[in-house]
Amino acid sequence: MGYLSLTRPRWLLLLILAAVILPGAVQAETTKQRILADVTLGKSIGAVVAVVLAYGSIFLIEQLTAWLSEKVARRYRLLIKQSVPFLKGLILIITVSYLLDQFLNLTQNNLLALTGTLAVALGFAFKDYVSSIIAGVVSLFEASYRVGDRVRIGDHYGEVVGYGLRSVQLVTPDDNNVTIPHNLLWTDPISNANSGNLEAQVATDVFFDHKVDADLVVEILYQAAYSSQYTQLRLPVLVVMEEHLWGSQFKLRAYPMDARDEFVYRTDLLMRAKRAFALHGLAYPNPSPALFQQANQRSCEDQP
Amino acid sequence: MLIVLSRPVEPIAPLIEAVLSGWNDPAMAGHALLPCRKRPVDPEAVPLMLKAVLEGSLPPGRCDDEKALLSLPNLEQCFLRSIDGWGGIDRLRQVALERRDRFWLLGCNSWAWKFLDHVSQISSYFPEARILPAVEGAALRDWLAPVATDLAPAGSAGQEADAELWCQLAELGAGCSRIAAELWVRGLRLDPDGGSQTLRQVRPSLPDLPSLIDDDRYLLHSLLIHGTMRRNHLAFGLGLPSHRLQPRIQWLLGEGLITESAGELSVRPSHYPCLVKELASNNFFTGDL
Repeated sequence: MGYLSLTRPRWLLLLILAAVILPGAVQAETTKQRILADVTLGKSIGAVVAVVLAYGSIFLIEQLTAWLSEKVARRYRLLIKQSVPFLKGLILIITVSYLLDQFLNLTQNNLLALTGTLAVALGFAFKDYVSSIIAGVVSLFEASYRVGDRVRIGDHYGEVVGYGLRSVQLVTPDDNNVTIPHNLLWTDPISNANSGNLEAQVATDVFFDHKVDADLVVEILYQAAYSSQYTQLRLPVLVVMEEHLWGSQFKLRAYPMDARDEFVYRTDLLMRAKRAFALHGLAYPNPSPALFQQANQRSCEDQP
Repeated sequence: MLIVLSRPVEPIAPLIEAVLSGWNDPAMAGHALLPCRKRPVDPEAVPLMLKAVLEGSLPPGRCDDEKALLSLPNLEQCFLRSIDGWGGIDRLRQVALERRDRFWLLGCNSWAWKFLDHVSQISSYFPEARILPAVEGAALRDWLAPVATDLAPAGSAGQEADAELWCQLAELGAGCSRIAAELWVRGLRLDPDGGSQTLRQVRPSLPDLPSLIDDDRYLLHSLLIHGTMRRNHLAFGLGLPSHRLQPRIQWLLGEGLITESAGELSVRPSHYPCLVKELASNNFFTGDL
């Protein structure tokens, strides 16, 4: 699926180039320097071979990196995944450069004429498309999101599994594939949980009655984090507390060794903590409906 | 106060006990803090084991103003990685600070020490941790000499090649006698020239690790932290029901990565060097020396 969405932009780009270049080339035949070079059988075969090679290389890179990244140690997984967009970009640049060199006379004047025509055509007809491509290139260097990162873009949260010319592919915790165009980068905030690292912070909330022994709850939460086999002990563990009308909220912030374990980690923390809470008979909040209503009203007033 | 650290595959308790068995210093009485080496069967009782001893009165010296040596050669057996599982260690930390009139001799596996340092900052209280010295080729040869007598005699280039072999064994075993000894046993072959009764030593090598999944790594990491463990302790520490853990334990036993003796699971020493690399590459903390 991701494969199709990645190859489509390249074909579209070639079509656009052809559509823009050909009329210009016909006009230029009256001038001394033609934009379009002579099309021979050899060049045509070379072009087809180049496109097939590029197509095959991208396919191979995608398959190979997807396989290899799951076989190697965690430390190298993200490194391999993050190399995919660069490798694909490199192949694309080499192929397009070769095709342009084969079919166009790229002198200084021709280049100016060509880029001018392209700018007008793309600016009007394919504004969003070009915007996505540029955003994709910017994001590649800005690293707002990379393959393997866990990000929230708009309403969608998941692991970045594909990085195309026009869009990025996420796999959500429900195992759905979501394709999001890069140009959302210009307007939407992007929340990245791990930014190229293996670890991502996991926040786990527990709620208690106001009368609960806060020291005991905090101690149990710390120990739940330290005792979990998923916890990255090299990174800090923190418990913060917040008061509400209906009870006390405790938030445990800790890092699993692998961001992919996010949900199983939270479950493990909660199960460990709940066993200990039950052992100590800690009271959960039991708010009256009136308090809930009050709390809701307050939160509505707080919102701008 | 003295803490001796060793690798998880090299139990230090027998070593300390052997040293203390000959202890006969008239100036200082020696006492073992715990009567047994292993954790109690009930995992909930593990932290209580040390707490109970420390809550009572500590063994006295021969007279009131005399110092006493208190030994705890198996610190890794006194905790479990579970909520309140290292309560006994916290208590020990506190008592050792209060009772400066006792000389504390602790033995611990380096992974357990690293874990306790993460969760309890134990090295701030016991900074004098010493590492068990690495065994060298010559010492290894002398140690194994009594059982190596039946080996085929070395050839003409014998002495030098023999010394090189022992050095190689010590190096592959990273200076750990248990690893080196197991590699040595793995390298024994029937000598084709000497009939069926003669053995010869081939070039030693570390065994390859089988392909592991994440569940295996968590299990092995837990085993390395705790040294040796019963199955129910392992399940308790990992927060999993036993029936979910058993298939992976059986698989690891089948692959020869772990071994079971008297109901206690432990990592096979010869796999330890590769396992350390494997776990470190997968973002686990390691306590290798």
